[in-house]
Amino acid sequence: MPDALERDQDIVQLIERGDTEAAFGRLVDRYEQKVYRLCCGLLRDRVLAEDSAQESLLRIWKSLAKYDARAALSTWIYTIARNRCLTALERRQVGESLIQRDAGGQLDHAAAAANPEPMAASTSLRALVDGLPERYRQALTLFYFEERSVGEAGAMLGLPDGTVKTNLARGRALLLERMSQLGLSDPLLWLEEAT
Amino acid sequence: MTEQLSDQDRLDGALDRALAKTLQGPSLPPGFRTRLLEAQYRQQLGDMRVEFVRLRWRTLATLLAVAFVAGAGVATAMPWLVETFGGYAMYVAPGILALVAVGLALNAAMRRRQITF
Repeated sequence: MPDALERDQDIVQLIERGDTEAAFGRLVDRYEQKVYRLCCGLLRDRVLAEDSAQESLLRIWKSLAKYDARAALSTWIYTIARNRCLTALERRQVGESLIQRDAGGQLDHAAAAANPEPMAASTSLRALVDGLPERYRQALTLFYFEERSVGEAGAMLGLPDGTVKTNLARGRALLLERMSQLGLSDPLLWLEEAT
Repeated sequence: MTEQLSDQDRLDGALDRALAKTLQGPSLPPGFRTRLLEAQYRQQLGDMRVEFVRLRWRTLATLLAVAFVAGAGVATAMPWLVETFGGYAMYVAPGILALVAVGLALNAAMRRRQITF
């Protein structure tokens, strides 16, 4: 699998030639889905995520000529998208309400997951993931969004691969711990039901 | 011990499969690309408008500066013009200014043609 620098070499060459329109077209083909997923993973709000993804891509388009290839193109794109998401969060003061929602949400998630029978197992699992601390939830979500790629999830979050792996392992361990706390005597059976 | 490890492996595998199924990446909303292109077009129009206003301000400033310089130049050169051309000085001075104005207009027309968005 080519690394991030090699993979986007064609786009970088177009930028260097000054053909920013063609470069942007190719970049959108390759990254629009990933940028949207990153925004979804960070913002947990599809509408806000779409707005932020659009704004990120527009900002990328405007700054494309200034890209100096010091960092991998994907890193540069994800940094812009992450910053847009942070701005969106600040703008709407979601930061504070997220903490409140998380506090209440964790109870809801726990309550939702506590009684897995009436609810689909996958819905309960989703609720448990949503109730995880932010760094674990983001690592897990983006890892599975990007078809289990630690490298891509790390680039999206701006974290080293090792940290992503640690967060994934801790997130998974916490999930299993919460399952057993919820009285799921045999999480394996429940998990098999979810698949 | 081997059985315990095997149980753990099975549990990990089941969790992995369940998470992969549950946390599927969201697809792009319908019309995402169209809205992006529209936003890009709007942004281009906005940039053009800003550039146009800036150009108009620059043109106005240039006109004022040229008018001031021309007036000052004529006032300074008038004694010499009168001495050199006598009664015709009143026609020579506006003639030179008209030539300068035509030159500026031609220059502006060429620059305008160069501006492409």
